[in-house]
Order: sequence, then structure tokens, then C-alpha cells
Amino acid sequence: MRKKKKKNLPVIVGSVIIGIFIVIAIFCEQLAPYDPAITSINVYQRPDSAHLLGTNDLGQDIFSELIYGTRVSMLIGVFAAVIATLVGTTFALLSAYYGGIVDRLITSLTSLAMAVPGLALTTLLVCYLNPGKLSLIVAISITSWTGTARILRSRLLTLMEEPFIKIEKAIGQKDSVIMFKHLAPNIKDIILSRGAMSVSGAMMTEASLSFLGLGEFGEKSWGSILHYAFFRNGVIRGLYWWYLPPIICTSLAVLGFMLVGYYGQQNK
Amino acid sequence: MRIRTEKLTKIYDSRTGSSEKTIGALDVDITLDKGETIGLFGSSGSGKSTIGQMLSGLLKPTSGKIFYDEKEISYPFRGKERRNIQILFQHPEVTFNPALPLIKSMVEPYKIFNIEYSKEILIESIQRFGLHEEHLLRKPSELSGGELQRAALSRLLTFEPEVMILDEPTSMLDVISQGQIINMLREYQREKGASFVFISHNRTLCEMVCDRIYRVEHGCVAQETDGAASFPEKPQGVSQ
Repeated sequence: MRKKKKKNLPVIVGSVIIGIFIVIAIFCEQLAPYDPAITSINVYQRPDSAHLLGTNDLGQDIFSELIYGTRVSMLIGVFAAVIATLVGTTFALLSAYYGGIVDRLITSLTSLAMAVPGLALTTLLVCYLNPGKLSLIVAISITSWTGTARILRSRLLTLMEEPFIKIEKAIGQKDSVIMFKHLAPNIKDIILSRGAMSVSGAMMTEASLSFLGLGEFGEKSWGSILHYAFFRNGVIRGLYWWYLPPIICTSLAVLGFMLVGYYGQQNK
Repeated sequence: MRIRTEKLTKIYDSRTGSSEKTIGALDVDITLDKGETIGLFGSSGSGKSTIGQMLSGLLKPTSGKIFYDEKEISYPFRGKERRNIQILFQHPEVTFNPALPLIKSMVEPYKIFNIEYSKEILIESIQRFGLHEEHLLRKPSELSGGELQRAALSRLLTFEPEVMILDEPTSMLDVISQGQIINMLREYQREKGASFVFISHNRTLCEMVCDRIYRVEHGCVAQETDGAASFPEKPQGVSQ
């Protein structure tokens, strides 16, 4: 008898949140009422029926900015997380499979990378790399693969003792095939949930960098909107429709990925 | 002489952190002829599985030599030896990758050694072992222990190994499955003249299956003559 699948409410809620943001990110041209780059003379307008969230210092529609920002934030977050997860998984596989000197090298490298303050190093990297999405992604993923690598390694070490891995060796299977076909599928759920957590981490880092003014220049992400809101004294002047929405969006997206990552793992 | 070992020894570092060593196997000299079945009989923890794993190239011996057809082979085995020496384990439930359907594990021998195969060949090979096409599409957790052990045996025999290490292949199975597995092995031996190393703690089964029996105690091996084994003296300064 197959067990009846239990409903995992946090994962469902998280998936719905992620799903909504993905739809917004894909269809932002259709959803946004204005082009967020177009400036107008109507600056610092309060929210009304024409501009749902008012306008900013350059007369740009904040609601449209927010919708376009979804795409930038999600893109950087997801890609950085994918790279970080891939790097972490590969390192964990190599480390657990070969053991010995390889394991020691990778473990020390992980500890070293963990000891470096992440945001500081990322900031430094962003400053010295060519500005753009790619360097942001690289800078974020360079510091965020460590947790994944460490958690996967410990799980893989127990998996390595399983007889079926020994048998694969005994029948002369190639190392790479054992690693990616036999070891990796068995930690699929941890990889996925760690990946989802990485996305939330990467989005937070991206928001922090953008808030510091180190973000993407051409397109505004949620962090960049915040940066301009603070830069133009939005908080002191009480323009809450300017600085609150990006905060809420970032928090919601991070929450969504966290829910999926955290509870997706526990369901096992 | 198919396989011969010379002073094969495995010494483990003690996990307690002291400098004491634990003996897995000590100065093991065994011989295995073509078409012969030898038994390694001993209680649990006596080191018979350690010897089996060294013979199958899964464990690096601390010292000593293994000869295959009078040619020395060393860990890890490659090429011809890797294919000709195979091992069947005790627990059928953990023989296959639990994340993959059985068919993916079953086609591996063909892929590794570039043997041509089709679905028909595969189905035919498992039907000899009383399994059906439908079994191939299931995950290992959806099959019984006996079915899995037969599938494992079917996969191993694809290699047409000359030597098989059978590490308690039947101890987890019911009596009927035990009989089936033993009969299949005997049939294969008659056909191909393969040699078996049968590892077991079941005295009756050992006597039934094996031509010669070695008794294993604390990592030392002695051949039995009329049910009595003479062991070499215990070495000094090594705990067990």
C-alpha cells in the first residue's frame, strides 16, 4: 500500500509565494502600467489611481519599478544560488568520494571560506569586478557555497558506507558515474532544499549590496529602490509608499524560499 | 590455481585513539582452484568479510599478496580482474541504488564493459531468475529481499565472472529463496566452471555447499581437516 501523501502546508504556501513572484518576473512588461525608466515632471506624488504607489524623485512610477525589480532580484538570487549549490555539491561529492588528502584540502578550503566575513568580501569583489549582473552573481556565489558543501559532505559520508556504493565500485563503475548518478540522486532532497535556502540568502545579499549602492546600474532591483528611497530622505519625510513595498517584497520572497527549503527537508 | 593469497593481512587502526591495532586478517594463505567452492566459516567479527572484501578488491590489504592465475594483482583492481572477480553481499535491500528504478542498475554491467544489449536480452536474463519485466520498472524498496537478491545475482552473472565472493548471500532470505539462490549458483558453476568463495556462519550450509572449508578465528585462517583446525599461535603485542 502506498502511503497517503501528507500535505505540507508551509511548503505549499512557500511555493505559492515563489510562483507568484516568478509569474511577475516573467510577465513584467505586461503587468507594469508604465515603463519604469521614463521620467516625468510629476515627482514625489502620493499614491493615487494613476500611480498606485506614487512616483519617485524623478517622477518614475514606483509600482512599475517594483514589478521590474522582481525580475532583477529573482534573476540574481536564483542564478547565484544555482551556482553556489552546484559548486557546493561538486566539492562535497569530491570530498566525500575521494577522502584522504582531497577531503582535507576541500574541508580546509570550506572552513577558510566560512571564516571570511561574507558581505565584506562580496562588497570588495563587486567593487573590483566590472559592474553588471554577472559579477554580482559571481561575487554572491563565491561566498555562499560553503554551508551547502559542508552539510552535503556529512550526509554523503554516511552514504559512502552503504553497500550499494561498494558494489558499484566492485563492478568497475567509473568514479564520475558513481558520484553523479548514484550519490547525487540520493541527496536530491537536501540539495533542493539547500538550493532554496541559498536563493533566499542570495536575495538578501543582493538587496544589501544594492542598498549600499553597489547593485546593478541600468535596472533597479528591490534593493536599489530602497537605496534611492533612503538617499532622497524618503524615511524622514514619511514617504512609506516608497520604502515599504520593496522591503515587503524582499521579505516575502525570502520567506517563500525559506519555507520551501526548511520544511521541504523536514518532510522526509 | 585460480586465486592464491600469500600472508594477506589487514590491520585496522583502533578507533579508541590508542596506538593499539585491531586485526582484521592475519597472514591469510588460502587457495582456490578452478571450479571449486571453498568456505570461509567463522563466528561474527572473526574477519571473514574482511578477507572477502580484500579478495574482491574493495579493501586495501595492509600487506600480503593476491595472485590471480599466478599473476599478482593489487588494489584497486582494474580491467580484466575487475570483471572476473565479483562479490555478492549479504543484504539484498542495500545492493541497489534506492533512488533509481531497478532497470537503471541492471543495465550498468552492459554499459561499463560495452556489452551490446537490448531490452529483450535484459528481460530474458532476469526471467531466468524468475523475475518479470514489470519488476525492472520498480524501485528497490518495492521489491522483496528474495527478488532483489535474484536480481543482484542476475546482474553479477552478466559479467560472467570466474570468481565469485559470496558474502553470506542467503542469510537474510527465507528457506525457499535460499534454495533457489544456491541452485542458481550451482548451475552457473557447472556451466562456466567458476570458482566460489562462500562466506558463512551457517555450519550446515557451508558443509553442504563447499568442497573445502577454512575456519576463520580472530583474523587467522586454518584449513579444516576432518572438522579440526590448527591455528598458528597468537602474535604478541596486538590486541584483537
